[in-house]
Amino acid sequence: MDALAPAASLRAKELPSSPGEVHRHRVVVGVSLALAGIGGLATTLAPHLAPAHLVTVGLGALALGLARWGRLSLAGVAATAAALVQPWHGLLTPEATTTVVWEIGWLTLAIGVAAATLRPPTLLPVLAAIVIGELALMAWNPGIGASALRSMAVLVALLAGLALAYARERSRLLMRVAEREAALREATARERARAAELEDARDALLAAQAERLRASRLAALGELSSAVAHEINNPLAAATWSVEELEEVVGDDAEELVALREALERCEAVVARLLALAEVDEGPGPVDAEALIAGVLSVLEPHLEAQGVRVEMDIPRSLQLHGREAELRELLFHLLLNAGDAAGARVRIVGRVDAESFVLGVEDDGPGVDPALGGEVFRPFVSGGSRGPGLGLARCHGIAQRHGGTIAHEAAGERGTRFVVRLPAA
Amino acid sequence: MKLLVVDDDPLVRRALTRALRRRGHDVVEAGGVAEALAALEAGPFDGAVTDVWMPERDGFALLAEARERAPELPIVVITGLPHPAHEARALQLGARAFRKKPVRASELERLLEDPAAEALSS
Repeated sequence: MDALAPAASLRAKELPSSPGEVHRHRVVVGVSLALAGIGGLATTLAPHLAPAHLVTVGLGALALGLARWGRLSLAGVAATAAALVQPWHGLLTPEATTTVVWEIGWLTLAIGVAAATLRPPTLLPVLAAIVIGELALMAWNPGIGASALRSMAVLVALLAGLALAYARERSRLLMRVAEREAALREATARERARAAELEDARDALLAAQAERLRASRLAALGELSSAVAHEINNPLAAATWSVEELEEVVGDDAEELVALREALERCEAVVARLLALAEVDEGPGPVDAEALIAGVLSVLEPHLEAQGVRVEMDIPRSLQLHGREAELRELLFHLLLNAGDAAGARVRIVGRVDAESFVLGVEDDGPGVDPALGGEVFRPFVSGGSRGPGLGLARCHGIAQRHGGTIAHEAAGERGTRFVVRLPAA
Repeated sequence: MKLLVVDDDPLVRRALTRALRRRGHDVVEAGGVAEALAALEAGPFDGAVTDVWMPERDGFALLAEARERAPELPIVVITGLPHPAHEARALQLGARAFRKKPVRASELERLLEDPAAEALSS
């Protein structure tokens, strides 16, 4: 009777939700079926006890009904009771040899079905094998009679019902597991999407912060350059006037004065460049790309030639840019100066126009930009190996930005770098 | 020529004064707008060179006052921090020319001597 305890303690309506619980279900069903088998054995040995037989049939039908309703545990209890009703009446019959044969048969049936319930796909062949085996036993021992056949039919039906109910529960369980898995997958996907959203938001925030930082750096640079320009230009003026005085005294072609003038001019040029870095010039308008490039090249060509760099151009005829000419000239100047410094033998200027923007590219065949620098090359005082202090590209970035455009760099073929400026069409 | 040099920075003011004197001009120095106006009151000048940014009152104030008191006086404005808007304002206030420092004394002299110099050079 101990075997009944777990069956009674199980809440019949509740579906198994863990492997442990599924296992307990299987044990209960298996034990119930084994006991039912023993009951069936008693029935066949005492076919004359009609009341016990009827109680067995009734309990068996109840078990079947409960099993069909999915109340597996209760069905197990009913089946067990059905099996236990008859042993009181039938165990002590005289046909000992037949008893052994039938006992083995019913135990085989019970164990077979119990095993089958653990592996539903093998259920039908096992049941079929057991029924055929029992029929064979009965044919060999025909004296057993019709009531034994009836008992067996009832038990086979009962066991088949239990097994089918179990299979149904199992498929329901599998479906539930599949549903839970799907829900879990969906939740995981939602979480992933949310994480991706958060990541995007974080990236956008970081980009905005970097942009603000860059803008504030450039603004600070503007203020700094103005202050420096003012503070340096004044003493430069004083020095210039003193040099002029000395020219009156020692003659303006004295070697020392030539050197002094050159030094002062260089200081003046540096300050002018520093100021240009922060200044905004005239309003925007159409700018002829060819004329712009020709103007810049007229200044830079001697410098490039001295470095042994050849300039190639691939610009559509009469390409018209839109922007502030002085700034665009300066932008091109810095890009060409940098390209010339980086180049081995060749600098190429390419231009095209598409639906929304003008694209101007300056390529060199130099060693390329250090990948670690990335967009940092556009920050002030970040020098990618060029000879300047690292202000040219910051200036270019500022100019492109003020034009509502962008500037970026990319690898140009196997060697070299291409700086690409995109300016919005007017 | 009798010239007035207005700049709050003594280094700049003295260097320009010396250079212009060496070129044979009679130069009066002023360290600010008030001093410059007092000098203009004291006697007629043939020309003035003024800085823009000075404490208290700036070069534009001097231009405005000078236009009242000595409308014929040629004034060249010089600054260490040039800006197109400042140049426009200075010229509108009657300055003869606007120059970025450093600028050679000989050019200042030329601008002050010849009313057409700026037109020719630009």
